[in-house]
Amino acid sequence: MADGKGTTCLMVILILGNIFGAAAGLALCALAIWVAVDEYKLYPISGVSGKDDIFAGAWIAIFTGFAFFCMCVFGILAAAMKSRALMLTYLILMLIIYIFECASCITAVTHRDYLVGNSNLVKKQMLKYYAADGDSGSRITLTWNKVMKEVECCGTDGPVDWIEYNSTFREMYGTDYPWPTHCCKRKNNYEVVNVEACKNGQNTTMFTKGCFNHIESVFSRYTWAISWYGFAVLMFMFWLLILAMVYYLIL
Amino acid sequence: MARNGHRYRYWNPMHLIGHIKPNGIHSSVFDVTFWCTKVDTVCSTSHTEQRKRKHSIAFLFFLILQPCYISTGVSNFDADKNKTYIDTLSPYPTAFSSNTSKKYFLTKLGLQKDYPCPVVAGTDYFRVGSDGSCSTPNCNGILPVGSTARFRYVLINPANKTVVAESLWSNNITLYPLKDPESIDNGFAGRSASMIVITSILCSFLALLLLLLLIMLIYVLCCREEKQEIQVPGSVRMYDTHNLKDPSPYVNRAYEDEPQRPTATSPIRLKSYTDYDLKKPATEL
Repeated sequence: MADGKGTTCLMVILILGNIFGAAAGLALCALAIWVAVDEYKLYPISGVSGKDDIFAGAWIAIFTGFAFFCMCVFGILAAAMKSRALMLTYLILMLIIYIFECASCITAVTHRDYLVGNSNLVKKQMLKYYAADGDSGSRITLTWNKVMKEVECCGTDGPVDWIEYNSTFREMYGTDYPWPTHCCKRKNNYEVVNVEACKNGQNTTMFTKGCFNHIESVFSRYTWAISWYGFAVLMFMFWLLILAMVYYLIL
Repeated sequence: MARNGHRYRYWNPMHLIGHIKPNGIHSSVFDVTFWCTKVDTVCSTSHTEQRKRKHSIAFLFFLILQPCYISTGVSNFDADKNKTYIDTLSPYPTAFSSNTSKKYFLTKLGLQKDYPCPVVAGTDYFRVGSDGSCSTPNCNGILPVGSTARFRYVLINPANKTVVAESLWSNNITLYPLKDPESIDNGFAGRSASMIVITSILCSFLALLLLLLLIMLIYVLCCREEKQEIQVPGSVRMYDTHNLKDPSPYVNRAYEDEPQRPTATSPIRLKSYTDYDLKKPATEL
């Protein structure tokens, strides 16, 4: 065979690259599992609005991450055996997985822009569905109650949202409570510190910051995990595939 | 205007308004909240007054519609305030019901001890509208949406319900207009920079990869030539066995003693070994 030493050198580089690629693919799979599990429990905000493709991107990334792992192990085998047929199989399958991973990254980052590009969608959804009847209403209500309690915030941009706009909450419960009691500070035994002061807007007894910052940062965190890390893996795989093509040509 | 000097000084609504916090949370759509200043002073002062005169405190609320009718409620009250039974002249249910109604109402008539000034962390307040949509004549009902209002305290003689003393008018307070949440535009929120970077780079690299793979396949299928060659042309001493897996030169031991490559002047000479024994000397053929 011509160029035996060059072939061997490229083979070693390919094997090392595939080992690294296998590790990266497995890490992508694990990260995508973390996103899909949604530890912050904010899925209803994206699900009810129909723009939940950050999680769709996460599911695709679980499968492509694991597929990258398997294919890279196969690639080690194909390179070591110096087999043209195996290398061709490796190249074609890796390309297919590459295409799916591209789709995952682009989908996740685009839908993040729809969802939390500005606070309008989240605010409109909150006003419409908080305290509403039905499945969507109850999911949104539970999510917002949890967020307001844990993050110590009220409304999307602030409590003013509840009084500036009409809402399902206002129509159901009247004007006595301008905002939900989850906006009020509570003692350790979960009792409200002072309901009357909270109703009047005394800012020592209620939360005055908006919840949108937290929601936006959570969705951004999920998106950066899927899209930017996926992007990094794809950049690495691009060069690995170029090398594999060269190796195939000199085999 | 306060009638009797410093005794009513604390009822000056400027003090009351002065405690409205600038972050505006107190101003909700249907209610105006303002703060009772130093309520125990107010209440104790008026309590002294009551013991003397048995007057009731009434909280009076005016509405001014804007912008043309800015003084409607105020002027109506000023016209009515010298009459008796002032608490019945404009009951709450009819106060804002039509264009010709008086646009003011009195609420929370009562003795000081019944007056709701809950003390919360040092600030005291009276919340207008906490009764919601009520229908009794002097109930504390909600105000029309988006209106502008002023208010004052008055002291009323319980016998014939005439106005005895009153505080100054407050400043104009404009309530929030209620917006429809469907008016929020949740359409296109703009593309972030990271989205553009990721999309453009990934798409171009994918296209490049596809292109390169296609070119490689076409090259391999059509244009590749066989590269297998005998290493020494014209010699059968050493040739490639064409084994793809393990190519190695094969040395033909019949020509071991030939020291150099054969040329035209020194052609290959075949030799013969007796009994096919390589150890015995050979004879040239």
